[in-house]
Amino acid sequence: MDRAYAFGPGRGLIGVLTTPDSAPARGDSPTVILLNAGLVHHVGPHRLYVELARQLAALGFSVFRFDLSGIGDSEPPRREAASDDQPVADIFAAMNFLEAKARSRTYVLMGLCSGADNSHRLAVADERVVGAVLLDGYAYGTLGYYARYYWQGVLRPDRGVRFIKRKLAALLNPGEGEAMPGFARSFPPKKKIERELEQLVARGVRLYFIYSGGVDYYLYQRQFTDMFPSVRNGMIRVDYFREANHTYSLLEHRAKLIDAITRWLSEAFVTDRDWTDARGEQALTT
Amino acid sequence: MIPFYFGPSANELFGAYDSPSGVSYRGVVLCYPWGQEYLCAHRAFAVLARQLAEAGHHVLRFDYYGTGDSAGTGLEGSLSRWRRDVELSLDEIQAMVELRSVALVGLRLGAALAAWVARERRDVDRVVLWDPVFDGNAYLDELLDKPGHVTTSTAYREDEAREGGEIYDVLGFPLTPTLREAIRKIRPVEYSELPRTMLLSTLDTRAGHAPLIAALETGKVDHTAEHVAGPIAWLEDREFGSGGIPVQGLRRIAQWLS
Repeated sequence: MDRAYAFGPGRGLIGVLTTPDSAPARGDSPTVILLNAGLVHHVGPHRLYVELARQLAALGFSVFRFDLSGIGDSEPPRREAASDDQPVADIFAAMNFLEAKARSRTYVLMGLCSGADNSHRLAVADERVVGAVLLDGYAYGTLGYYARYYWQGVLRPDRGVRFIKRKLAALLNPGEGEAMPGFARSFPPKKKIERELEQLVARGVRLYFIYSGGVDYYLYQRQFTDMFPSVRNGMIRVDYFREANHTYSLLEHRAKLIDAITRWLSEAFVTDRDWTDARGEQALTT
Repeated sequence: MIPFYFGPSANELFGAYDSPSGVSYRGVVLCYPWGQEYLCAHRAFAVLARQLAEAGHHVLRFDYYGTGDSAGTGLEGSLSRWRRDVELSLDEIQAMVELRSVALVGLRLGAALAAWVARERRDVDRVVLWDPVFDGNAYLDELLDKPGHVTTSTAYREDEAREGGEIYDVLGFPLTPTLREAIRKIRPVEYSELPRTMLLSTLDTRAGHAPLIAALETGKVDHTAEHVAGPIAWLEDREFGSGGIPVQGLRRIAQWLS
């Protein structure tokens, strides 16, 4: 069942809470929050978030999709000063709203692109976050990455020129993050992210990284392990859907993505009983 | 803005209501385009709704059945169903607030739906046709001719057997044989017998709308046609993953309706 809400300061944030139709939401399951992918409003790219929310609700999860300030149906930020920290304030407001409205105590954050970046930030900042699904989240160059990137583009000298420019910029501005080749998004320094991932793992936060073939900053399955060798992998799962594009525009790729996420969530957070999927078939026993 | 669900409980539609700051008896229902164009245009529609509310209108925008936050799957959508959704939204806004006039604003396929409903309903006194689809075949060509945008899927096999034809997935939005056939029938003549009409083009030149303007004139529709250049609301800007905000065009819609 979907219900729409206005919440937050001045009730300017807009979201939709999807709850299980037949059975009450499992009290001990975290509530899943879906975060905007760039400027796409809360239905998600190609309606991905609506389909995902309804399938997760059929498994007993409550799922909240909402728009950050200034995106989709939500009002613009109330103060001009609102800046990089606005998404953090908005997600805090969503969690506080869900605590009051749906008695949620713990959360799994999920998002694509900027939604993955915001999921990471909140996971670090708030201990109510017990899991995160990061679609095309942070990534950094490795030996294996650069070998593949430049081998694929061996006939493209422009890549070599861009590489030198980027490294020069990184040398001149050591405090800033590194922009990966071929992509406009800048990531925080790798050491910062690595340290934060170690903190999250130590806190018991479960993390699921899924990279698509639509970004050229992630090029092989083991790149994550090579990027962060010190991060213990027991709490982390990484998948690389090489055939999918960045927004999973094809039906088959979206179905595969949704299946992977629902399975991971069920394995990670439904541990005390068998669960059955919406079609009445036994899908997984943990 | 107040978000809410309305309509029959099993088939609820998602609505977004913007209220004017003062007392007003004027209402506007906004009709989205379809598919990827809907996702792109959502941003401009949210801005338009706020501008219209500031100009003194009660504004309702809504997602058609099987799209956006509304109930249903994409396979269940059809033009006849969405036309009923427009009518349901007109009934809903008039049940929510007392109105003395109500207008429809439709973009692309939403303009065709708005025109059909405006022609039938005496309570609609103005209609804005924004980059309207008035040649169904040309519109289908636009949807289906983009490399990489259209695929078929084995997941549709059962639905295809029921539909009796192939279902195309257009960037995540299923285009069924039923929907294709209904779209194919859209012609300029559908735009006759309308109340006062504004034709706003942001992409094509006025010459591109010549068949539609001829139909409006033949049908003796009281109309004005304007071309306002600017960002295209319903086409994806790869930089942002969303459509643009045609500031001048939105301002003209608000001025004309006011």
